[in-house]
Amino acid sequence: MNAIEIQNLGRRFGRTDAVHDLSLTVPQGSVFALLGPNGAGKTTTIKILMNFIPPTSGRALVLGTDSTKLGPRERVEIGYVSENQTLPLWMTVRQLLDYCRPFYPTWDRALEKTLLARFDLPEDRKLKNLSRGMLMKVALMAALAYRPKLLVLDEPFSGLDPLVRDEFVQGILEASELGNWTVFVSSHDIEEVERLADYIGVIDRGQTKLNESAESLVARFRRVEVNLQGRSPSLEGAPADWLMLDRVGERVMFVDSRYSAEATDALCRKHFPQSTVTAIHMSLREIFLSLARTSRKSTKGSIS
Amino acid sequence: MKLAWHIVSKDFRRFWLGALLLAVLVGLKLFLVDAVFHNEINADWIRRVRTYQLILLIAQLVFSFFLAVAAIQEDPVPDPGAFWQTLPITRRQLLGAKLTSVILLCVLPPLLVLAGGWLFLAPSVGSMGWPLLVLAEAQLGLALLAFAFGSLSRNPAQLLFWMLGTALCFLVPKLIIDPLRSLEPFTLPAAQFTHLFLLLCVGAITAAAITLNQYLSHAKKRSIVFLGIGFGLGFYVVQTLRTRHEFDFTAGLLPAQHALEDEMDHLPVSIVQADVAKPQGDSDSEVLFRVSLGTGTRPLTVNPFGWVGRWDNRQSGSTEISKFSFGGNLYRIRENWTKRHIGSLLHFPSFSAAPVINFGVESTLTGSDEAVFTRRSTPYESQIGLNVSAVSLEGRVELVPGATLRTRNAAITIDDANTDGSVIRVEFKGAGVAIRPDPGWPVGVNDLGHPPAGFALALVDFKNHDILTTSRGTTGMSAYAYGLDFNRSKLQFVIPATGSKDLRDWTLVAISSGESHYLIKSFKQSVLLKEVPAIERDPKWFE
Repeated sequence: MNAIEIQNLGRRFGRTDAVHDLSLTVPQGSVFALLGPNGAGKTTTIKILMNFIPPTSGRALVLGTDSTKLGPRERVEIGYVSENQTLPLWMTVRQLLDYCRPFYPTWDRALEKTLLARFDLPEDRKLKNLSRGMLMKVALMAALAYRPKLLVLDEPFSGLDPLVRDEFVQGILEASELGNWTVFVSSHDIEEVERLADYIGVIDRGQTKLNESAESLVARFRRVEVNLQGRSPSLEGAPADWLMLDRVGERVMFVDSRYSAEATDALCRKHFPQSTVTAIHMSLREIFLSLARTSRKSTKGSIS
Repeated sequence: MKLAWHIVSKDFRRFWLGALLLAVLVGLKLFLVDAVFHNEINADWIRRVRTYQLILLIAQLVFSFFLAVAAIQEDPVPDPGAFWQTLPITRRQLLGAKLTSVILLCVLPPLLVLAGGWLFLAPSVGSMGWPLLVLAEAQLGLALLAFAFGSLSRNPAQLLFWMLGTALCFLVPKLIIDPLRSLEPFTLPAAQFTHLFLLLCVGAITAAAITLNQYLSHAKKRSIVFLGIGFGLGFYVVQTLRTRHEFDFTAGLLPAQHALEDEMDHLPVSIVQADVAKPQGDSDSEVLFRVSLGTGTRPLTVNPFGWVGRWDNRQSGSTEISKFSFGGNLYRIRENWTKRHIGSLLHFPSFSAAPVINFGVESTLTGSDEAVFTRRSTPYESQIGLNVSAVSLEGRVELVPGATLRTRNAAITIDDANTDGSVIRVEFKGAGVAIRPDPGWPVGVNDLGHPPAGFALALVDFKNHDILTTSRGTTGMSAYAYGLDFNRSKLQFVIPATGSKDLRDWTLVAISSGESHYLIKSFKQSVLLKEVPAIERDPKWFE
């Protein structure tokens, strides 16, 4: 069973489509990164998933339950941390944990202690006196201590310095190993979730642009450089899978989104006879940027 | 349920200081009331105390409201980013918890303080019910109002928006209706009442519409519960116009003041008294009413229905009356009534005569106006009446300094009792009963602003079956808070020629009449007033 299944989801605010015909699948036990630029519809999607707002079309299944029917029974299996989340700042860390504990029958006090030590949080300090990074760690800890099956993180790294971000990511990784949980994390920056994600979803302007495992992405994307050897053939008629196609002097460069050594080589020789072809591995960040730039140029259709 | 209490206990941890401050405000007010009771009295000092009490009252009300709002805004219901949204609880559970929190925070501490203060200051546990109810009603009303606003708003700015919006809902119809009230066709009591009723209905419906709109956008089907609360509140407000609760709720809002104001206002005035010449219709000894008239410089006193100011123009047919400034109260003179009831309660045979209805009028007429007053002949028609039915003997005590007379609603401790052979003077301190400076009529029954229950003190000679009711020269000073009067009084009883001159023959008795908080009844009666000599009060008492 998938932890999350989103089918043709839509949400309209007045005349604006914040999310439109969005479909995603998050396998159970995975760490899924939902990526997209600011205003892409990530937070709206998460609010629908958490039943904070209802969808205007389509539906989302969260742990097998329609998101609009999520109640307390389902909520105890879902952890939620958001950059916009307000915490009761008048409480100390200890008071917050004491307050949250009775709501969750599965609260694990041993795990609570482990996380307290791991995040190095001062128990007796009021939340209003904590830094933003520490506040996010407190929120994460309160969301992890009851061992949720699904952890939803909405832009959790926003505004965190690299050191705290690293600690935070490490905490999520360790926690997910502890319980084989599903983690659904949204971000506008691939760099933040590169270490975490084994599945990537990309949305832009409320629409799905990509939904794939990180492994598959890395395998099928290559930066290709073609040395034209003094010739100047036309770039017209190039395959649609070649993204960001460009010529610089005697070289043609593009990102091949369907890379396979033989097929790419054969296609290059067909379009650019007597040329030499070099394929370079790409990081997830480079893949994300190339997708985002291509999406900006042409918003029509999927690039997956 | 367990989780709801968990949230309530969290709110108490968060707002315990606020609840404590609220309790202190109520405690301070009781302290001031007690100070009026115990300290030397002079007009300046009382004015100061009155100001302090008013400040404390306003502080209590405003603080209660915002304490309740803050408790709700701790977990803003419609805010999707609120922390509670991440917890496994339903909106209904949260609202239930919040309602419990605001009621306990705003109602419980003041009630506990008042109950404690009451036991310390006042004589009887039995008399505690009404003040507690008055306070609970005021605090609960505020808490529910705050709940309605607080649970609508995501943040303080939105809260302010809804509050201003709702205030305008009542203000705009009022601005439209108010000018109409001065027009002659709108001055009939029933018409006036109808307009007030409409005003409140329009306000309540508009406020409910705002509520509906807001909740439909945030809570969909759950809005029905809150709409119910909104309509309930509107209904409550409208209903208070038609029952005694209005006045007692007002008393909760303006404690201690109007009785004092009455005293202060009346200090320098002359009393003109008149008898009823021709009682007509179906009136009997239960009928009692008050009117306040005025067209000139002197503002009207307590005037619950706002219409009687034009009574003289419309009803009298006498041009003279409309020419002078006249503010006054029309009373029934109850000297005979009190005597008769005490006598019949004690089974004195000579007091079984049929009731005699007498009325008195108290006004602010000056010398030149009195000439006009002597010539008036004014039929009176009204729809106001009070139901005073039950009469009972509350207690008796010997005229010995230090002796205490305890009744259901009051305790009176005699400070001094003496006689010069013609007049018996009794000075006492009392709590829980209002002793008016007006001689002759039972206290507490002389205006619409008070429950139609009376309490009278009289001297009884059990050997000779003589009954003395208070006579002119009787004075008193009281402070009122939460349904309780604290007062000091000096009673004067004129001994008749055949009466005993020995204090030991006389017993102070208390008689109560009526049950509190009966509905207003209607009656019609035409009376003719005639002048009787004016009397002066004893100004020294208030210096």
